[in-house]
Amino acid sequence: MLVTQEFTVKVNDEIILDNINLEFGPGIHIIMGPNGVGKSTFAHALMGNPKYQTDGAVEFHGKDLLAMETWERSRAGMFMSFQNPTPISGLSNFQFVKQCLDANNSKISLAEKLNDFRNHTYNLRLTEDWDKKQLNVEASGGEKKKNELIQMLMLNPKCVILDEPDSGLDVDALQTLTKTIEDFAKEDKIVIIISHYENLIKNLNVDSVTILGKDKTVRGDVELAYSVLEEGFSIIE
Amino acid sequence: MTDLNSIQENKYTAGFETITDSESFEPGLSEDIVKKLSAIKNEPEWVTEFRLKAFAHLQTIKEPTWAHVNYAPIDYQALSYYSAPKFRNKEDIPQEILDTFEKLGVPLHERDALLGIENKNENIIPTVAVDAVFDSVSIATTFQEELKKQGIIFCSISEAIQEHSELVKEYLGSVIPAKDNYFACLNSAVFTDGTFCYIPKGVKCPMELNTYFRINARNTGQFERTLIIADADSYVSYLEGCTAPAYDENTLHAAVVELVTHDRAEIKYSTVQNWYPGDENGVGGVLNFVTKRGLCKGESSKISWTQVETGSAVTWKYPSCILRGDNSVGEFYSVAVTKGKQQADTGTKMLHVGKNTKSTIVSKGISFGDSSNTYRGQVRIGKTATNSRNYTQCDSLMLDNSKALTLPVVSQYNNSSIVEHEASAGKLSEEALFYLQSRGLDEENAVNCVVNGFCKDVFQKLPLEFAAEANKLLSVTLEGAVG
Amino acid sequence: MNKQLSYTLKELPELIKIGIRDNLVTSKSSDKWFPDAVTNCLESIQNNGNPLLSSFYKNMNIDKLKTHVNTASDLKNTKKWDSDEQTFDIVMDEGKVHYSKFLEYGKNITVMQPYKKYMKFNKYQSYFNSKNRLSDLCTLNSTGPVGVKFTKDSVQDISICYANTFEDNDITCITAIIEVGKNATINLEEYFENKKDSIKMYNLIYLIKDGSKVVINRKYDLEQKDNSANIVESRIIQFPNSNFTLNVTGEGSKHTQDIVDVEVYNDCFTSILGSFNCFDNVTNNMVVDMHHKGHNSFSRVDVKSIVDDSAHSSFLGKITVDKEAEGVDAELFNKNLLLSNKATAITEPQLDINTKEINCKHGCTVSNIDKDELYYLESRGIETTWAEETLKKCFLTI
Repeated sequence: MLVTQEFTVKVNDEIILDNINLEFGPGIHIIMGPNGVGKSTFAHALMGNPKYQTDGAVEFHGKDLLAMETWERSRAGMFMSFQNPTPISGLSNFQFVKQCLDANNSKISLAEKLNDFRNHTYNLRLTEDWDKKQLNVEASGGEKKKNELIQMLMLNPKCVILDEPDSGLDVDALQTLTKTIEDFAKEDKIVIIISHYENLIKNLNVDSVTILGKDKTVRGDVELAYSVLEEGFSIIE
Repeated sequence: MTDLNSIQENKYTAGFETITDSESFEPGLSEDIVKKLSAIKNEPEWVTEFRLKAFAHLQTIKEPTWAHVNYAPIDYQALSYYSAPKFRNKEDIPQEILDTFEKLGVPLHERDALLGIENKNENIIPTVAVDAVFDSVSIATTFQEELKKQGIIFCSISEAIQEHSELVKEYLGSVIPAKDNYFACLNSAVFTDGTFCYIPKGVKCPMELNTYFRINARNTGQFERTLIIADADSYVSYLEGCTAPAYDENTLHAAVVELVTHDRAEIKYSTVQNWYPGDENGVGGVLNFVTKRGLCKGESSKISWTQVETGSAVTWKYPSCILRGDNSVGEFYSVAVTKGKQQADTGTKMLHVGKNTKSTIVSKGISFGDSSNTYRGQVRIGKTATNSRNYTQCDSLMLDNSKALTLPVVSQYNNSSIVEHEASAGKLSEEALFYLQSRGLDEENAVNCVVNGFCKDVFQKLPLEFAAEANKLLSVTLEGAVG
Repeated sequence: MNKQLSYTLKELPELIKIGIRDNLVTSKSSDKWFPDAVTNCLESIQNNGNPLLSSFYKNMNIDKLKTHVNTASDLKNTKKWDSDEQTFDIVMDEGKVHYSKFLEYGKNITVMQPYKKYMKFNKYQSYFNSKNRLSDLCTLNSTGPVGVKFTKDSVQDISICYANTFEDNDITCITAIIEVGKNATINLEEYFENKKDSIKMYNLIYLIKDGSKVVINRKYDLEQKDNSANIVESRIIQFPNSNFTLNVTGEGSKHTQDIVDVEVYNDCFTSILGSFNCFDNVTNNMVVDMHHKGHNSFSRVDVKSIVDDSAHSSFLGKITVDKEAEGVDAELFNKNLLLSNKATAITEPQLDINTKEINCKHGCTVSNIDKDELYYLESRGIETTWAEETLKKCFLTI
């Protein structure tokens, strides 16, 4: 379970999210909200992005998440797929994944890691030399999202927060994404998706929908999502 | 503000001389001359002291030689340090002087300043106030009364020394002390006139303030002194324009400009410089040796320097910012064009002292003919200037095999700041020219178009009224550049 | 009798003039040595003063050099060099080269040293004329020139160690010529051996003849907790159609000055790369002066420094393009990562362009580790220190 209690997020003393009280159990949860309300901020703050100051409490599988450093949160099983993955020159796609696996105490051999990686790049139709290409450098939006997906698959986290994972993905990649999310849910993982993409939402077995509004937060089921998609965010005001 | 209806190629149209009755000192520089100068202006004792101290220091120092410029040695004893047109009071200004300014397009009468509208309409807000300086004397300052209503002081520095002595005393020499460099020292001893401006707390100056300098007398040195102070939460946008007649001898222009901003204040200082550049053989022309510096004293204050330099035979100037107040911002935007035998050694210094300070430098040099265009910049992030940022971009556009020199220095003394510097040098893109010509523009217009694009970042920073003028000045200057 | 003489670099020119520091070079017959260059340097010092005080060094923190005490003594305690045991193909010393005799068998390499029969050095001496820098002191004080000549068309992979085989604390001044013949292909590994607590000056000339291709990988030895200094001046003359790469890596030995002057003629390719990791209170200075004298050449200078603790790094990079050098494409980049609050960096990228038919650019940055990049790595479980090390490695890589 991922539970937030009176969770507040600030940037330089300016409050972005105030008093968020939410619970996420195993399954698929959708988060929606108008642009700029702070959905990405919510995700980043849960991962411990140093840009944000937080108040309140967040419990993850019984542990105090806010007391942990970013990398400790990752090793505890949290994974966030960035909306805009950071390019890093000098580090290849595979080297990065290998480092992440090593950091998470992976016991599999180097050869196996590379093999796994190449299988994933093949399935996602990335170029053959993808493992050697520099991390997210001069890659299209879709390619960057595929990188995130590969990392997610190889790191096997307990809770994933996907920040607009659908943007830039082609039809095939979208299918892979959908299947991955479903598999994760079956494995009792917590999947939180920030998205407005109807095609993604309607193909998933959604457990809860949260709308982050300017002043209030509304929880509901998938019907809530459809209502908002049809009539806009004003219905929750 | 300069005459832009030029028909002939490369003709410096402001090169005419005005014959008028004037009073001048004999040539020579001595302690007596300094005292005489102070006396003729009827200055309070502290000003005379200020001058004499500077003069004493001047005797101990030598002219700097490190700039990449060559000029005939200046005989300081052969120049006259005071030349003022003779007239008793401001209402009595000789017609020839008024005509001069009219010919140059400078509006002197309040009526004319309403941008050409004949009937004085109460609802139309004037947008430009002008202080016109002819040789060493301020001839007219428009809209002084209007501005006074808001507490804004905009007048000649001589007048300010008389009427607002305490205020001037507090700030004069505080940003550029006499000992700073040779020419600032010379200026501190013999400065004649210039502009003084004070914007009180919380006031946003409603109009552009403009000073127009016209050198006229032969064999004189022009030593203006400008001082602009923006008190807390105030704003002012100021522009200076300059021209001089086309004489065969070099004319020395050694000005000093000091700017001070208090908390959350902003000064925007723009210059469109079109001093006589000398003829094709490098004879004559103005020697433009100016010290300009802004002190961002208060927190979150901002000083921006924008300049378009097309004239003067030799230019040596580095408008700089000292970013002392936390969160303050310094900017420098410049287009410097050199042609014929012109030489420019110009640039800026951004000294970061306070925390979270930011500076931006955009310098565009265009050179052709046998000219030499040097950018010299210094960005120093001091130990205390944590979390500061600087971005510099210098580009040199070479239209000929002239000389383009870029000499930046970046030094950083703390580990939380970021400095980025980029520079490039090259010629006009042949592809771009071809593309424009394939759409019907002739060669000259295509060149103008590409050059304007090159200068766009800087022109955007000029006050609206002058951006168009700067554009025209640039195209006039470039006439005959390509061919 | 064991005579000892202590002196600093400031006093050196005087000592040479009055003959206390024995300059062997002027006293020998003219074609074996550099008498003209030495006289030229001496005159320059007399006219312009000690080059140590020149403003050229203003950003380089050379106070240590000014105050360092050198000790010359009668008893030099030479190290023994066993050519069977040494791991370098060539060891260059002052006026002496140690190498295995088998090296010259293929007739592709000629080792040059003054005591060899028929060796004439004076054709090179104009390259050692005064530059008004510390290299003048090196030329003046060196025991004798050394060098290696690679014949034309040869293909060689050679390792060179610059070392001083005397064990005292005297200054080491190595003047060396490396000549690569036309169309040769040469790979050089250069290693500058540390000599505890002493100042070492190197004046190196590289003549890269037409059509040749040379790659030099240069490394500096670092020893903690000593006061040694490496002052290296390399002058490279690239004849038309040649290809030259210099790759310098260093942990900035206590004090390093790496000054690289490149004179490039037509249709050449030049690459000067530097990668420095400076920590403790190391001082690292690099100067690259790329002078394009010929047309259609391509050059790239890329120097990166990581500066930590209370280290200091300075970089002066100049691209000069002469009027005749049309069609030149030149780039210069300097990036500095300042990791601690006591670390300092000064960078001066300069351009001197005299023709419009060129494409030149330069860029420099000074910053700390990018916070976004750090956060991204941490968000995948990579612990902070490890993430920082990874990013530092990435920084120096490309």
